[in-house]
Amino acid sequence: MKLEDKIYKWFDDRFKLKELLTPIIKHPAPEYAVTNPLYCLGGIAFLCFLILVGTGVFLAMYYKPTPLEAYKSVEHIMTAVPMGSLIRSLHHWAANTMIAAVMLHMMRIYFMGAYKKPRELNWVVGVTLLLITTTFGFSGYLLPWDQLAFWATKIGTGIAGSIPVIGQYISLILVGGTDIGAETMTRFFAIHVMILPITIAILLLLHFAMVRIQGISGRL
Amino acid sequence: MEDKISFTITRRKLTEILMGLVALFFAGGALASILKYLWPATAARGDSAEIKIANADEVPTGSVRKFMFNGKAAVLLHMPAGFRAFGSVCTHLGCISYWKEDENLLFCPCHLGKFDPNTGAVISGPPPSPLPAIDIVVKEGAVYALKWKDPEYVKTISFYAGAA
Repeated sequence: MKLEDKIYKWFDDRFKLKELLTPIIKHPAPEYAVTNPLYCLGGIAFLCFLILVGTGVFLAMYYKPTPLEAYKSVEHIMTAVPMGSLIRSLHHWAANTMIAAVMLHMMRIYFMGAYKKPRELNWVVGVTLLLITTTFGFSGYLLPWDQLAFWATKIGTGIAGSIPVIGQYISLILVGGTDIGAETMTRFFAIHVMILPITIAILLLLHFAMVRIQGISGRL
Repeated sequence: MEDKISFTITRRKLTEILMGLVALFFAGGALASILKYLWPATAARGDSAEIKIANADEVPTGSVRKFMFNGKAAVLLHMPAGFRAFGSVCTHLGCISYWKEDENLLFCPCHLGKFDPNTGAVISGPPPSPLPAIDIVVKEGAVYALKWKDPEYVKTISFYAGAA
């Protein structure tokens, strides 16, 4: 018996790997989904998400979410940290690609009619995921603390503030004051690295579980 | 045919509903605390705030000092005629105007708006209305900002939302 087989058997004896994992790993995808690249869009979005998690964790090790340090720390990552510009560029481009992939994925679902019964709830979760993805983009945009970031956030929170009746309260809680500053930074940082990742992870699990239970919808 | 809508409630059901209400009460308390925590402290602001900007001798004639007033960028100018203070957020599109020493005026870099440093009035450029003046007082060698000279005017400028 080879070493890897022994190791596998050790785990299999204890955790019934063969019985539990085989149906998950060996589950066949239907022919029409394997041969059509349009069915890859959701997977591309998820791949982008994984890259974003990985690079984001590394960025968080050098990034400092205060008005005095934020821009300098981003500059430091880009110019001084070895491979820093690679990590941040990956984060940047994966973020852009993820938004594009999510939008295209939604269009595929729409035009192929894959949102119809019994998949209505998965469509709802999917649209929520799209909104969370864009919120990720919006909150991450402020963090470099340059002119673009500042004014984009000014406009974004201004739009939130223009909602009738509750708008000004939403804006106050989002901005953490009447003007964009240190409070806004830490709030957006917390949203970007704590609240949204947890939310998106839960919704992604739901999204995938529903695909698994209901199967991939066929052609029209 | 039973087409009446029937409604029965048992003691157990009633108890469950009451328990649910208690749970909602506590959940409401938790939510209220979270909102209270997130609510910015600067949102609750009195009228008589007296903010020290600088010691008078730190700002000699012809120099300026930037400060924050009610969450908005503001500027203290020491003109030959005395101290002046204005909100420095441009009334045109909300950029921050600054003291342009070689022209002796407040200048907004975004669209070249120019303001009179004595009155805040528009000299040239696109700004539709003057910079709002801030009442100041000099006492014991220090300059303090008191309040907007004209809070009603400040309320009409969208870039000063929440500041007056």
